[in-house]
Amino acid sequence: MSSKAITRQQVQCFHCGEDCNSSKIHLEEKIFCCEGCKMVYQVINQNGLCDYYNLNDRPGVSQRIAARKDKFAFLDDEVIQAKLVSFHDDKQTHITFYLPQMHCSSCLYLLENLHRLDEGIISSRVNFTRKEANIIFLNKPTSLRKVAELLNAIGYEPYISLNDLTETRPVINKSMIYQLGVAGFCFGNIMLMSFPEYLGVDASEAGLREIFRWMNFALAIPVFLYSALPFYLSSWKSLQHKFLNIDAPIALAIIVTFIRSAYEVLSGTGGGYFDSMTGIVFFMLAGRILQDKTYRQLSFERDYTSYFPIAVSVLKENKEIPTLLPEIKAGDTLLIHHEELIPADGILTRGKAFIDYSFVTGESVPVLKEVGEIVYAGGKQTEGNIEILVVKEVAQSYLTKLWNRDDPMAGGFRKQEQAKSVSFVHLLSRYFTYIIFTIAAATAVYWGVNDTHKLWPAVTAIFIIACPCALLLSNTFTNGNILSILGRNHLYLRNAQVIEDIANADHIVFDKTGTLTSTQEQDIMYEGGPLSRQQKQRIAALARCSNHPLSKALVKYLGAPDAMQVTAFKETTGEGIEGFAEDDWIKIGSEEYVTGRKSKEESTAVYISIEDKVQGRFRFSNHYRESIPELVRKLENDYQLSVISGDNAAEKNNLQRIFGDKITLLFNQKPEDKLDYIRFLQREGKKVMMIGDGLNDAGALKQSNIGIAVAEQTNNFTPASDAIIEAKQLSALSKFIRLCRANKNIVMASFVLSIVYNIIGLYFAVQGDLHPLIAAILMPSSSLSIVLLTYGNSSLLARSMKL
Amino acid sequence: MTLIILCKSVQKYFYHQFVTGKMSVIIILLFASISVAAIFLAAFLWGVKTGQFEDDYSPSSRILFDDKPASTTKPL
Repeated sequence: MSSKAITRQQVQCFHCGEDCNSSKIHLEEKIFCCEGCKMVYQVINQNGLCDYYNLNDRPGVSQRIAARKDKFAFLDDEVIQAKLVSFHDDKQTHITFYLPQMHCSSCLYLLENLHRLDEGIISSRVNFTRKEANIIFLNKPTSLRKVAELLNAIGYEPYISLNDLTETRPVINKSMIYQLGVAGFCFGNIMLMSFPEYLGVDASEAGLREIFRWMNFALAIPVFLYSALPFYLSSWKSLQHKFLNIDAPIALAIIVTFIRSAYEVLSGTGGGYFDSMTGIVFFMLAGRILQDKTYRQLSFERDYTSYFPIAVSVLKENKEIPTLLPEIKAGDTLLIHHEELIPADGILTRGKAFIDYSFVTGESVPVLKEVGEIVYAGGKQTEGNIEILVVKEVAQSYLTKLWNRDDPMAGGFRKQEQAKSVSFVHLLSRYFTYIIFTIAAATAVYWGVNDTHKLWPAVTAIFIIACPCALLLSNTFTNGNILSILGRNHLYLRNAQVIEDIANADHIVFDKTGTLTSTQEQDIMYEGGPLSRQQKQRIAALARCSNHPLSKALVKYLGAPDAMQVTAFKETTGEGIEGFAEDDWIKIGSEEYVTGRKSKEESTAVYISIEDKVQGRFRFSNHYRESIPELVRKLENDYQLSVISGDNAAEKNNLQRIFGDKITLLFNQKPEDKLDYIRFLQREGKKVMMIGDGLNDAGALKQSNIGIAVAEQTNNFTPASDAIIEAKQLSALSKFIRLCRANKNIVMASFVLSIVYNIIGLYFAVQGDLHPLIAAILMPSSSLSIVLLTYGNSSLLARSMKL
Repeated sequence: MTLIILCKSVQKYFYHQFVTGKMSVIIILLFASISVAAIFLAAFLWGVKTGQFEDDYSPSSRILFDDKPASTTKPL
């Protein structure tokens, strides 16, 4: 190791790249942060897989927190196995594991070389986008549990949740892509073969023209019968609900065009409009696919099952029995291990619970529970093992109930009072359709009186030329583009309708903890006697030895100390730590632990004593995200804002300073209260946008017109919502809203343009002589110009907003 | 039915061309071009079906690994 690396002060673990200044774990000049990382390196090295480290610098995943030894014991259970594996026979088993740790090409390399680590593994194949590995292994030399343990040992812990048990994995519907392919093929060839028709064929080669026409006809059939299916189905569905959506006039236009064209070819009177028909089908399908592009790695439909483990240990006669979660009944005693989730409401019967409810409330500081107290499902035990006596089954637990949205029997909330919002495009197309029918009727009457021969050509031509396909095109292409622009900026929408919902919202409700405040940072204030630099460093050195979030925050606040000797370190779970830092005897912990007095205070504070003399305390408070004040200033003119918080009113002054006086502040709100508040606003006629993060917001997120879940990382679990935003992008929310609002204007502008095209087309159509050439020019030029206009406009707008 | 009429008119055309001795190469080209396009269509559909558009990261990295993992060969 060169001297340069040492003086650089930051020494990084060879495996995972974490800082490890004080680490003494070496192997062949390589430094590791922990034994776990070293072990992974050894495994990889022994099997000649060191390319893992050559492909990327320090690609590993930190192994500081080692997994429990029999964590995957439940995989030996045959019932559980049968639910997880995709194929199983006497010889081999196929399984797909979700490996959230996968992040680079090194991971890919290692995971596809699993067969070199375990001889029983035949093959493994990674799907990187979905972070999945398909593994095929022989049953004899290895087992499901062993494979899972191997993955865990090299740092890719398979994520197996309750969700895997109940749901079959979603099959991606590719049929629209097939339909697009077929439509594109037919459209291209029909265009080509229409040239002779338009350019004029020599009279002596009339037979040739006939053949071209027949070929066109044949090629249009698959488009008519297969590619256009989505439009037929959608319009049929909407008509069944007595609602005229945009697909209905389009389906009508496709059918009319096909029948008329077929008639022309069969009767030998003309070439028909096959090129126009296949063209619009192709473009409209392309728009639909663009708009429906989904984020496969995200899930907007999560319920608690994807967050809960598949099995837990039930204690029966002093034996741990891995049991499937749905089979847990009230009265069972569960053993919750360190870092495990509490799956059901229960009473603590043994051990000291130190529960991290950050997923539920957004509050990152763990809560201490004593024996006899009730612990709610959804929290994570952070210090040691505990036992709980189940009072309520998993699905009936207090918080999971909030999440069971489609199951009213379980008391879940549903968006019942609220009809699904309908895009303005459908309403617009409805007027459009009425107008077209009126024009068609007028034309029919006129020609019926004057020249009955021209009646059908004129009427059908009107339907052909004046279908609202331009409107649909502009809508789908703009939506698709805006979705992808927002996705690039880490705001992921469930579908295109959400764009309009965002644009229509007029009241924004924020959750406080975890949304306005950061879960990863805390503001720390010191109160008490002055501390010297050296003392601060010693406090930090002692705090470094603990994994408690407050200790970690303290180390961060005081600065990472240089290597400093800590001896006689002792940690009392839930109370504090003590030990010698160099030669100072330091105690850090709760008021009771350090001073001996009973604590009365509500705010989070850590007391310090040096040489048994109480020095003072560090007060922790929520850290507001830096971007929030600016965001509020941008939003407050156009929106009514509210903040609802499950906490007490201690932060009231702080919030008022940020949000000003106009805001509604509500404290001590239980999850139901949050939901009721949203309902209250909706009854007042408000369109509510709710921005929250935790499980306690789940009901409110669902009830609101648009629920946006905030996630520190998009891989994290978020409650069901309409959109997911990455926390650091919250500041750009006002821009996102403006972009969504612009969406409607862009669509309207291109709609006006398409009406111009339509009027030109109608001018020919009502006269009964719509030449196929005119249709053939109008159709693609209008489609293409509209696509370009909408795409260009939305992209330009996004660029001007620096998105 | 369409197919029969199509075939008949093609037959009629060929017969006509043959008799008049102006066998046009256009027809052959026509079928050739459509067949080529159909092959591409089939390739596209096959690609979609086998999931080649689903994961755009792994194949591009996989090709850079020196010793090909055994997993690239299809299992039994």
